[in-house]
Amino acid sequence: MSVDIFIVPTAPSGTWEDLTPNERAWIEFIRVISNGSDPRITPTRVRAARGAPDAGRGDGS
Amino acid sequence: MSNPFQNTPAARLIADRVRDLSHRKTQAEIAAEAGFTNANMMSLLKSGKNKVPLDRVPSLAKALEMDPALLMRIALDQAVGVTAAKAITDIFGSPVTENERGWLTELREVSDNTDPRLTARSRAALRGVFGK
Repeated sequence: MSVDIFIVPTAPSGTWEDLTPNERAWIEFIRVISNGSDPRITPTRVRAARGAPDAGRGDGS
Repeated sequence: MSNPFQNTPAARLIADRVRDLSHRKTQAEIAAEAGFTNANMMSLLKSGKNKVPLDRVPSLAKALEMDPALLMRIALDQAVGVTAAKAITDIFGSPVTENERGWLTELREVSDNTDPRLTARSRAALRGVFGK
């Protein structure tokens, strides 16, 4: 991390604008439910979250 | 003296980080590391007497050992207000933290890059993960 130049961190595929609308929605929802705490990635959370995308497929609920 | 920024997310987060680091760094050391000449600056930021100077976000985040994108996001809300901050991020994009980048990577992996929608059931699953 540089202290000399401010660089906005970017998402893996590029900038925020390059994220899909769905990906923005996921990130914004995580921010809301985590109360802006920027939750770390832990093995427990990753295991628990694995079902979330699958749960979102299908019937448009 | 009033505390116009008392209990803002930025003030609370800074207080939390100062407390978390207190076994290794004093507030004065954090202030110096962030480039503040006033050794009491961390107290002023924690209490909400002062707002976070946006030009110090990178060095302050480093001193507080936290992600600069998160600090910038909430410092922007504090500095210009939530509505103006939203207008700025609508145009320039919202800073994405390292953790968020990681969550996006996980999302893409587990969904086989199918760009899944965030549905009501997805939300419920995420609430379970983050305990809310």
